[in-house]
Amino acid sequence: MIQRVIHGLDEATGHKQQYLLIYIVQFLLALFVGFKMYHFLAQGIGNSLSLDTIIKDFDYTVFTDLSIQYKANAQSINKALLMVIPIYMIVAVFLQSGLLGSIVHKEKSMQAFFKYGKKYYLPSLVIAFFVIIISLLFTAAIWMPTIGSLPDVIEVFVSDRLFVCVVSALGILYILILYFLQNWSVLSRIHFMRTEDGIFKSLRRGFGMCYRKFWSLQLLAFVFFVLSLGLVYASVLTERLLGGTTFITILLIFLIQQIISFCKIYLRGGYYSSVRNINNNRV
Amino acid sequence: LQLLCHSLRNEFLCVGIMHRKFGYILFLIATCFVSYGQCKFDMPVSSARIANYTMDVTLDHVKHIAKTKARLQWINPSPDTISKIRMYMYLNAFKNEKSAWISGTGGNVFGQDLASKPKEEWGYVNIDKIVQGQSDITKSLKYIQPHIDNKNDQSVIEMTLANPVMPEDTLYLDYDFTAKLPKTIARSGHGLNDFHLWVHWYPKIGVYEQFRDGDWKWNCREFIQRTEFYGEFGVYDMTFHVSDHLTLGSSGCKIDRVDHEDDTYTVQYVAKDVIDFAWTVSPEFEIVEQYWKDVYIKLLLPVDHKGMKKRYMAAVTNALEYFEKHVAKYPYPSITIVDPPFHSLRNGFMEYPTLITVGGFTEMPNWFHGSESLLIHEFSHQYFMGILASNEKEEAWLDEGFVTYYEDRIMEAYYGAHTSQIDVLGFHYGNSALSRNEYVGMRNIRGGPINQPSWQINGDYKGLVYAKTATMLKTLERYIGIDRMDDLMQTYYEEKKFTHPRAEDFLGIVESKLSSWYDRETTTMYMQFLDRCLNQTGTFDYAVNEVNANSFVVSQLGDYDMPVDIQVVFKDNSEEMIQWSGQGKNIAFKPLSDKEIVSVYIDPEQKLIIDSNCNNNSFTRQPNKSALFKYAGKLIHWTQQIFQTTSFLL
Repeated sequence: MIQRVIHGLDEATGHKQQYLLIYIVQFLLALFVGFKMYHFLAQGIGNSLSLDTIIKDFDYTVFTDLSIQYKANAQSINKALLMVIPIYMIVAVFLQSGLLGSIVHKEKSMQAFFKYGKKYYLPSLVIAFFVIIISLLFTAAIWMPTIGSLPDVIEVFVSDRLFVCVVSALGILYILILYFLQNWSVLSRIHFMRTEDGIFKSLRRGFGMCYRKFWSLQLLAFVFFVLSLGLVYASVLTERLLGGTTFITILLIFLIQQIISFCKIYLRGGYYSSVRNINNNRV
Repeated sequence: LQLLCHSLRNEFLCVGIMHRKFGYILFLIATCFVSYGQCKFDMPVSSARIANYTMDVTLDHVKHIAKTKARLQWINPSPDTISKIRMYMYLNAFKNEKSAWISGTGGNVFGQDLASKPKEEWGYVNIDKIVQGQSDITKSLKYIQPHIDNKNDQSVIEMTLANPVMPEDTLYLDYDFTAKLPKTIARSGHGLNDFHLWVHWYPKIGVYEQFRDGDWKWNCREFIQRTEFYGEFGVYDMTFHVSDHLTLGSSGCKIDRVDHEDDTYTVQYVAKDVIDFAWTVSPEFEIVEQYWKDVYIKLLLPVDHKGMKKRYMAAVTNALEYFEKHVAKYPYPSITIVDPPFHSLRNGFMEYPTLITVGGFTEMPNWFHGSESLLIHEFSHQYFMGILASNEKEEAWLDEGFVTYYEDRIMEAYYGAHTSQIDVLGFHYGNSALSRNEYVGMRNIRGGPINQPSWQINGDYKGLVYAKTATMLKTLERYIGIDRMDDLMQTYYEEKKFTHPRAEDFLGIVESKLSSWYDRETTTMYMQFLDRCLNQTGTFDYAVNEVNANSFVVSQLGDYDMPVDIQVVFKDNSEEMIQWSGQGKNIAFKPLSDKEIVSVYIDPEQKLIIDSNCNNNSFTRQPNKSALFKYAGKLIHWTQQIFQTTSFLL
């Protein structure tokens, strides 16, 4: 598996320009939310010494007072976030189609990226929509009854250790389902990009492949998830180590975190390459 | 014969045989020098011991029924001749949906659908027979609703005595009662595997007291939500007969245990100078015992909560230590902490004299101190409710508000001022900040005064009674200093312990202490501050409007004022402190120094923590914009992470 991951990452290194484009799109959309935050703070405490407090450390009172006094502005950040997420999801279908198409057809140019993004946009959108619907159904099926029955469930469980075990088991099952759906989505798109068999046939073939290589694919998704989690941890660690109390350290943290965001996109490319290789029975 | 009579098991039963005063002397002798069982009973007689109970309880754990033979010895504290007695019958609050308690919830308690609750899962308490001397007065029993228009409520009962009780005379009532625990709705109840928590379970006499209008009357209100405690001090001598697979814990101290051949055992507990008595049984309890100085600590917790042992013990010993240092030595010989099993979590987080219930989970992360905070909160009730036994229903702030104030102090002393509640991945806050935010973040910060009966408070009860009171006391502490605050609370404790203090008692002591430390004007200012917080609904809010090179303008935006310091920082980093009465809007100041002003900070030490917006208390002409970039940058990064996570299926 490790060899498979390394090989996948190695193959994915050639698509740097494409990652950069995805990164820029993500950054620009996130910047919009960042601006909202900047203005929220500037309006609320732009001339307050509270700024000196929060640059040193998180301060609960400063932020709670801000959110109480400037409730509408705080809500506008939430609204901005809720607006850019669906926008990015729609754009992401194009970006991921371009990246996956380039990896499947082993073309690294930006022209190929745009070509495949455009060509596979609609089929990828349908597949994504289909898989998202299924994931929502599973989410509802697993978590709604669990949360809904919580008051009654408490009375049934003799021990909270048992309760924690049951919830953990449900959580693991849920993650396995999400991994499966992720693999299914990618394999269906790979099949379509190779054969142009039609969306539903691709979904069927993708499912069959997912089923046959269940454990390899699950493990692969898990490894990339752990790597991704490691990067998130690195970003938190960076902040803790550098502190961010001066403009220079703030800038440094920001740059390191942006590199981490870029690396996570690269990880996605590595995951696509590895899935393609499993699909090809290689390595 | 009398000395024998005052042996351990029957000490106060005998008091009635003799003259009251003589009885007290013997009683003192018997109780002061006897040390038995787990506890060191060296506490002197602390209360007037108006209501003393002896009970012999037989538990049927299968039917969740306790059959009890009880004797109440009650001393008439008034100049009146009493012919009617009132008793709390709190367990009847869980008899059906029609009780004042349940109907007050709208039929939904902690997410339970009570409309579909089977009949066998409800509880009740019923006096089967009651006798005064030789006279059976059972027929005179009558449920009454003295304060609530709900004829179905049976949480208060009244009876007519065969022989009225003369002033300072002693009444004896012998009664048999049956109590059935409900499947836990809240507080009292049973859960799986024979777990039972018996609280508010027995017929308990009300308080006959002198009201503010000068008349002596029964203060025995119906059981309603939120507030419950108001009882007379006394001694409880309890004997329990239970199955030997059950571990029993209770208020007070274990005196004796006898095992029987029929797989049962008899155990005796005594609790002195308390206003209530609670007990619990479960086959799942693991017992952890420890002494802190002379205080016997008993922790009863489910086996799978083992991981919480050290944390609970540390929290309770911290609280004992802190109270001894800053208020008064814990006067009781024991404290029992019950951690209910998961299925009975609704029994948790409550306070009873010398017994508290907490709530924890198998693995609570170390960065979250919620369990410790709640334990310390419930323990603090031993002082405010248990010893300073104010009327929780009428003046809840003297109870919950004071408790929250001490919870915050103790938590911050032992777990960090800014980390006492949560400290994870850079996100952290302390108890005082949380209390303050619960107040200033209320949906309606002007929702009502603190000092009003609990049934009159609409809206955010916790924000007002718990949080605003705690923030008010914290503000007073920061103004007068912690040593004087301790002195004040120690005086309140010493003068009012084992009585039923009211708001005017506390405020009288505050005024007296303040006037011994300050001039009349300052005393009046602090008393006015308390009055505004307690009896009015306005807010405190200071703001710096503008800062120029050589002057600045400040305003009092709230409703009230308190004198505050203003810190002025100049370009060369030198400072000037200006004192402001806190009155007026758009007040211009010109510092003594001609240097260029950089920043102005009203109340830089944040003494007036009750200020509803601390961010506008300062203004700088050279703002540190880096902070804006820092948090905007953080949000950009985390938004990117959200994009990458939410698009994983695309």
